[in-house]
Amino acid sequence: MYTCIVGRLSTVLFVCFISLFSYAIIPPPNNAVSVSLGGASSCYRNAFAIENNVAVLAFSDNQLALNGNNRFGLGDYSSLALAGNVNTKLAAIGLSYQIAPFGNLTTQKTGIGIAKKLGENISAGIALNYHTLNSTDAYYQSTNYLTVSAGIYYKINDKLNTGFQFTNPNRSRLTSSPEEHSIALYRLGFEYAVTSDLALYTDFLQATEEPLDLNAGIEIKKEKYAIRGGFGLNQLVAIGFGWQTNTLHIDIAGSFHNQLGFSPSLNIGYAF
Amino acid sequence: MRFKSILFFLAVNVVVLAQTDNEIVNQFIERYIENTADEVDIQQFASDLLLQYENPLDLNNADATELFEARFITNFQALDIITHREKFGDFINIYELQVLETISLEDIQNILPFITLKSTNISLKNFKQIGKDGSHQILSLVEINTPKVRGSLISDTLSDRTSSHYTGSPLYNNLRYRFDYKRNISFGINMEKDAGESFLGDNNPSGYDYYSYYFAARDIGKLKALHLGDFQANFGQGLTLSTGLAFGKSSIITNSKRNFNGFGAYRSLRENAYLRGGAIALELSKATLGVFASYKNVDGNALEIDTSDQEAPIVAMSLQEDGGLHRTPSELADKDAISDFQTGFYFDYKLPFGRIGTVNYLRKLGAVLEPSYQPYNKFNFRGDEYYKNGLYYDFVYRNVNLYGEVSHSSFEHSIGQVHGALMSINKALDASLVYRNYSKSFITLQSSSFGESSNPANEEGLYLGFEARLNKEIKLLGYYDLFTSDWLRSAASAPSSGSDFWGELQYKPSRSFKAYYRFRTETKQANSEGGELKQLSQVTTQRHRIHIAYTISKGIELRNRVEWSIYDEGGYKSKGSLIYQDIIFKPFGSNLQLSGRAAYSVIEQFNNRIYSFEQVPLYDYPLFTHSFSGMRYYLLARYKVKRGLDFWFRYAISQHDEPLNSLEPNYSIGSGLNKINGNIKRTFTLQIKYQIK
Repeated sequence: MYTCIVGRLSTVLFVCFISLFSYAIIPPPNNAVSVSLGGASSCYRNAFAIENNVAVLAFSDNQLALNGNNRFGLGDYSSLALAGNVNTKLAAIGLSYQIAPFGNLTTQKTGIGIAKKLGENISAGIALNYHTLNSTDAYYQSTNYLTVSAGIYYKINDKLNTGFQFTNPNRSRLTSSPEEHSIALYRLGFEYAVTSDLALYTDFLQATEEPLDLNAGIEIKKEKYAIRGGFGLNQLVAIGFGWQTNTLHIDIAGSFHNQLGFSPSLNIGYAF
Repeated sequence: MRFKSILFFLAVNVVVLAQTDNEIVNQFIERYIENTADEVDIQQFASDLLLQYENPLDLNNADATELFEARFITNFQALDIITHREKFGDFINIYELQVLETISLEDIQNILPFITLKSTNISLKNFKQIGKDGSHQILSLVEINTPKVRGSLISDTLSDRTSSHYTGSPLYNNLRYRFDYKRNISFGINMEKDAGESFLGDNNPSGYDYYSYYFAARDIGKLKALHLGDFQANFGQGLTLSTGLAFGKSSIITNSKRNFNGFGAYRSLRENAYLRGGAIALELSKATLGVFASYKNVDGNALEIDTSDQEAPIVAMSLQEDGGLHRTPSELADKDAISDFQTGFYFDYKLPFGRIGTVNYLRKLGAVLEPSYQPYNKFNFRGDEYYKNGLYYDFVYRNVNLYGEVSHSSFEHSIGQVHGALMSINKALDASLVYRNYSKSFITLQSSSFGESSNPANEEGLYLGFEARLNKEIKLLGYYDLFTSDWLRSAASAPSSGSDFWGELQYKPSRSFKAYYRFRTETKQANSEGGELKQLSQVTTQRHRIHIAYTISKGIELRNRVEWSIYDEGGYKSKGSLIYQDIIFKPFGSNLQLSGRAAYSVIEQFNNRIYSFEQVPLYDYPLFTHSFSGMRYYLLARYKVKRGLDFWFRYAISQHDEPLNSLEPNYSIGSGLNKINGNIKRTFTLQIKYQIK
């Protein structure tokens, strides 16, 4: 009993303690669950895992989900995303599409990912994303480019999971003159299930030319309902709620930035 | 239960037998070096470890000194073995080790190749078997970096060929031969050419820039040690005389104790850190008496004050005890510039509860050392001759190991002392305590005693380390070190103080997964920038590391790390971070092994640099410094052609991020003669090892 308590307490402290050292700027979370967990979602199992850690798809249920996201109440700064995944005999396959109009610049991303279990408790995955930038602005050029991401997901034991994903390590070229490259992103995360109803999430994110960032989140589930909270200095604090039946998942979240304001996000998912 | 144990150890043996000597040695190198940022003599360390692997230690006959000296067990484990032998007598079976609290099943698996219960004494009767039973090893490493550095680009240096160009090719090469007969007889030769040094040119007509050769015999009857050629001498806690490097503060908290044991063969490529001549030590019952004499030339910037006066002494600003780069005309001018004669003796006496000894030596240099006069080095050694005398002890009483050394140096009759205790407090807790006090004029040449600074002078400090096994899965360890300097340091224009804290939580829920979180914060007083009046401010460096390693299937291991540092100098903060993914592929029974890494770092300034251990060919230096923002990749392949013949090939790339607002038309890496154009540096390494046994 004593051993059990010490072990559990140490792990909780481990996850919480490292959460104290959070700073930096990182691309915003891409769906409501991720927003509400402060961006700490490299181990979270849902259809949007194709973005956060493609390897997680191998352990996710089949799902189709839509996300609408707004940043800081600005009409021009919204995005829509559609993601789905299905498990086949060979591997899990995921698809995603995202569009974000921003003034004269519209970015679109279409992705396909594949994830496979390498054992009972480990999976690996790889995703290809095709990006389109359409610009009517004199400065920005319209361009298309391809990025690749790959991840690993490992269930250490019944309570603790870890995941690692790198995205665009070769830093695809955006423009040739001036020469600009898209960012690379490396993500290492942990999930700790304190009880069957309570889970803690932590992600370290390292983007090129940015300081290391750390996000942390907590999820409490009770039957059909879930309440989530998280923080990270790029959005300070976030909160979210979830409701689900066997087939329908609805998640809403809001993040609060101390200067830029409120950013809502909504997921509607269908499990099959 | 017993059946399960047998099955377990059968499995352990299978695993151990499946590993090669290189892998096993590499495991220990990684364990030590991963935990320290100090400079480590990797060739010497790996050679010693390989020799211990090839000649397992007899657990029942090894005395306390030999057990403490062994690299493959910690001091606490050695203490545990000694205590167990005293209580229960000799080990009947090697698997008795599992009853010791400090030795886990994984530890047993790791140390199994290094230990035995069979006596391996040698006598002169089987001396002629030496040639037949000994092993020969030839090893050579070639390394080249591209693109060429500025010093190798002749066109850049035509205007000033006298001092600002490298005289040789950019290729690095070493060639090494060694012969070993058990632990008792060995000889060998080491040759090295650094990148930029000439080979077979005017400056090195005999070929390589560095040659080292040795013959060593030990533990043959009453002959404890005989050395001819190059050798090393390390005694007590390294305060009076230590020609080697020792580990500094780290998560292996017992590294605070030195386990030096007299003369040793010199197998390193450090070009000035040896003694050259002869040494002999005889063991007479409980006493050991050893003498040595050495004459060599060392690097130093010798200056003739008045060339017309033949009687005028040669003056040197400094002595390069750890130098070795002779690439440019100015570096060549310093090569072997100062003669160095040393002689001394030691006497060591074994007691029922440990040992006590004394070491004394005299050193006469061919130049008068005169460091530039600065307030902070007012008490540094000046002169061409000195002597040091030391008294050391190492006692074991029950579960406590007391050790220490007091040393006197002739310069201003200064005193240095270090005293420590290792304590196994109970089954779950070990502790280490060290007090040191080095006077400001203590001679630091050829010393490697424990401390904050690598030079044991002008420092008083107290170190407390602990290791707590909370349960089978979780271990908590760390240390706290407080230190003060009575006199100025180069970075502090007033007496100063500081502290260093290291905490580490290790989590190992299964054999296939392990993780740790490490936190280190070091605070020192240093000169603050700006203002006419120099004053001290607090400089704090914090380091955090999270590391996980997991085996996903037989022969495939993945490792992840995220690490970040925060450097705070009087309120101004800078940050650095590193994240990486490793894959290590060692298929069971295959002759090919692969390992690789992709790492990305963002480093704001040099003080935020982060070190990481990389997989390298055996004996190569494995610690990489991430001091830039950008990617770092490497791939290492090792191929075992046949028994005894191994090849390593390594390809590494450092790709620096070009600053977005850089005003430089052509981005470059490095500075001075090491500057290269572009933002990518590539390194190719090839090593071959051939062993006949």
